[in-house]
Amino acid sequence: MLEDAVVAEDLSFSYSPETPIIENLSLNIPTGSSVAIIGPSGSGKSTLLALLGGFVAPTSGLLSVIGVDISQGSLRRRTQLQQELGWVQQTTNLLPFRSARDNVALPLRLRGCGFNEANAIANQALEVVGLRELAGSACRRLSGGQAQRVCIARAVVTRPRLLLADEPTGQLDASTTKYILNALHDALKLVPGATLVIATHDEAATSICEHTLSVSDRQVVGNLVLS
Amino acid sequence: MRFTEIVRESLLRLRSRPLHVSVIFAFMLVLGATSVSVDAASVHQILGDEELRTAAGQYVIVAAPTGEANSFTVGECLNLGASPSTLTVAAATTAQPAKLKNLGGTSVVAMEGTSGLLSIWSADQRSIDLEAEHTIGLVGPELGQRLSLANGSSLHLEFQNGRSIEHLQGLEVGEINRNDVAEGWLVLIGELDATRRADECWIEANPGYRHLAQATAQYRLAHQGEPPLVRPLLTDSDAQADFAARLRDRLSRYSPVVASGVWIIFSLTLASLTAKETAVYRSSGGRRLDLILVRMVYLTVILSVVLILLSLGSTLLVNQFLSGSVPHSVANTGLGGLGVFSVAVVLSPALEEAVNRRSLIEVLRE
Repeated sequence: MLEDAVVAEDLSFSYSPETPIIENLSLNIPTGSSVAIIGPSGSGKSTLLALLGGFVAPTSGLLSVIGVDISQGSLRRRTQLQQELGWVQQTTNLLPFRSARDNVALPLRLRGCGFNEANAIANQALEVVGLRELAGSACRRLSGGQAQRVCIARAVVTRPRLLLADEPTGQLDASTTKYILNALHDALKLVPGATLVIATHDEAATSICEHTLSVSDRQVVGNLVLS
Repeated sequence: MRFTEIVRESLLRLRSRPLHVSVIFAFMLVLGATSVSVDAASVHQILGDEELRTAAGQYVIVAAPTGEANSFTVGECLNLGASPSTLTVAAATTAQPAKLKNLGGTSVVAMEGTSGLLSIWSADQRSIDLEAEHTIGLVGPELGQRLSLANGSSLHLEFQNGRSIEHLQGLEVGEINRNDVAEGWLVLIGELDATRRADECWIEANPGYRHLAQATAQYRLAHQGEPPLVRPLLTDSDAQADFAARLRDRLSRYSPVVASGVWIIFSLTLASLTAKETAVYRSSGGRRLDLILVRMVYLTVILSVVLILLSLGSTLLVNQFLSGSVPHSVANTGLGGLGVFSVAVVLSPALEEAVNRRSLIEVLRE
């Protein structure tokens, strides 16, 4: 039996002692599953995702993500984790003066892949998200939806074991949202066995996920159970 | 990340810089070249064209106290070595070590003052051994005087290019009024040639010491008995406003420092990825070391190109508009800048990484 992709026990996080964001959270996400964390803005979804990605360190509790224990907040371990995951953010953090292909190929090249090989893989990823013809375009010339699809391609191009998506459709209209979710769904085919966690307030995102975690109020507290 | 990919990433980054960076690049280039050229242009002219014409065929004596300056460079003004028929002699004497060089002539006379006898150097810097019969007093016998140095040593002269010592003995150089010059002074004596006079005449002290060259130039006409003409050395500079002179002096003195400072800022600007860019690299799996290396290579490429352009531009500027030789200040600026650039190349990306401790998620959400 595969180990759970995410194991959290009594996990807590706060930016200051007075304002806890996550308290005593316990959570298990099976490997290879897809989970949508649904909740209103400010409920702590993005912070939970940042914790899972090792971008912030837990205040207390245990947290293991794809087998990497990041409970102690070790920067080295969190960096190690980040090498193994793909991340799609709400804001399209691309290098604006570089082509879509360059942006998608960048994670591969940072991991030691050769230039030509990285470009070839990037082209495949862009094709999956429907942007093969715009591979050579500078990202600053792309629309919001197109840029987000580049981000999705970039996130899956390294075939990560865990794919985190933080409000991937947060700034997009309904039709584009649908298109992006489809792109995300299609991109997942490139990484069979990967675990997908989406933090969103958009109910439409649940359509591509097997499980839903509902978060309410301003704090993530207690046990979160997959539905 | 592979080293080839680090280099490639640096070049891709170079290619994808936005326009405003190119504008800053060009601006800095112009600023640097201007700084150097201002420094190079502040050469002290001691004889104007008109004076050269009227003084043609006459002997000229120029005296300048060295003050704190320990080096002077004298250019084409006396047509040193321009014509075989021209009797050209140059001598230098000072209480402190001083050098006198003609950078352009074939029969270059350069002398280096020492605590004892003056040494005479040929154009190729070979020292010419002086023999007793080839020495002579500077002042002609008609005057019945013999010039002595402050330390009591005799002044010795030597011709270049096979000129015999007898010609020197017939030279009437007149009397040098020792009371008119300060201790530690530079003397240049020569006969102007009307047909082959030089285009310009200049004397340059070490950068930073030009303001001390408050000297006098003395003309001693060939006809014995005429009084020497005494005038300020820096005629052209004197005609300028004080502010301009001060500005030029400051630029002359500080231009290497200013240029280096400008380049530090420039290199930091070029080397730095924005916080967002850094976050993108890191969230894509980039290690800090990768980012530092990418920036170092990137900066090295940029600065290499800039230094080459700057050196070529400065040399061209000097050769075309100032003189046939590149003043020391240009080299000072270049070398000083190169040192600082090297430090900047090594340190700036690493320092920036060390200072940048903002949360990745925080930056990416902006």
